[in-house]
Amino acid sequence: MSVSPRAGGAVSTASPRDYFDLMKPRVMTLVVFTGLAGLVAAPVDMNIVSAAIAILALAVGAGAAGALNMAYDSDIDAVMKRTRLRPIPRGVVSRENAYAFGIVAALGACLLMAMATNYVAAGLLAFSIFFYSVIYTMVLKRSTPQNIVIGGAAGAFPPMIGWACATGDVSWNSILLFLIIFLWTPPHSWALALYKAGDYSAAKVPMMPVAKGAPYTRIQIVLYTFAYLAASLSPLTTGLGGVVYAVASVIGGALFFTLAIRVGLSRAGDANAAEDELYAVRAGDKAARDLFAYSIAHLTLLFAALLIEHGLAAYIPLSRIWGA
Amino acid sequence: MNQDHMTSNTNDSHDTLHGEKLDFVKLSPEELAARNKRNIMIALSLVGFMGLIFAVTVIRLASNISAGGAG
Repeated sequence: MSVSPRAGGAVSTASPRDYFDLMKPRVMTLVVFTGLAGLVAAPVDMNIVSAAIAILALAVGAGAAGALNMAYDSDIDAVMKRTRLRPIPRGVVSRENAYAFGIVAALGACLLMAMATNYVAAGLLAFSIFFYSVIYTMVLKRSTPQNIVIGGAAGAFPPMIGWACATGDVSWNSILLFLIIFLWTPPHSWALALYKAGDYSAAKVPMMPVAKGAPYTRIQIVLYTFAYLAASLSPLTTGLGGVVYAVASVIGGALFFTLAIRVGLSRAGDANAAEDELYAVRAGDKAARDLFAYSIAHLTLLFAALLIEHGLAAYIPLSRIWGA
Repeated sequence: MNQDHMTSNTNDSHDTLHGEKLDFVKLSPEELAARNKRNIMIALSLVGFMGLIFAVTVIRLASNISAGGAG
């Protein structure tokens, strides 16, 4: 009998790039951006090196949550056209390695955050990773059409974490920033789900259009848009947002509202034609696709306005305009 | 265990351990290249992590000293 010193199958051919892809780099970009905006908008100055390390920890933490999500969801990712080329469905990275990578990255990110900033920020980061990878991915996603409504909280934490990095606490303004992303998630995700319903249906994920139908989803998109726009205007009432933010939220919000109403009046999600790429459009779905694309731009615009006002000393309080 | 794979990738030379013959697996060039890249990235990540911890320590020390914590 011979004994192999390497009992465990073939050696992986995964490259560092495959592990980077596990971290959902596009999602990480938005996390870093909104987290940085929260950090910069906070009323406490922070050492720039500590701030850079905190943002890095936030990015790695978000990536860890993404890796854990991909590890758990690899079965449904293999079914969905949008996700079937991810590293695990392609067979490049094993689920076990993805779990190990995610857990190590999460521990490293939280440890780094605790050392670079404070325990409040590190605790929020740890909780957001747990919320996304366990509460959303393992519990909500496959069990309820409200999955992304509740699970959206995970993606809403970054600006609150960024704020906590600087101040060491959670204030009303940071809660408003949380609410903006929390209420932005349903219309954003459901717009995508409307024109990708077949994908979710094949994977048996009860997204709203799959579980309740496209007409009901379109109504919910319009209703959540009202809530989101109200939240996006709220920083103007507390003084967090100045003139630049006012312009971005009012004009940008008007366009968001228009596109959401257009989805509400459309037949998006009703068609049964084939679904191909992420941005491929079926005849009736252009309204949903436009809202999905613009929703990203609008959220970016809001947080860019905060960055410009508080990071580039361009903050002009609205009271100065009213008083003039 | 994937016996077919093990056999196909096995070297002709054998060593023994406690009287049992050991098969040493010969990695393909792709597997070797991928493993080297991963090892380099892990090493860089560890060195980077140590550097960040060092930087944080220096910043905290400087902050505490300037706040009068040293005296």
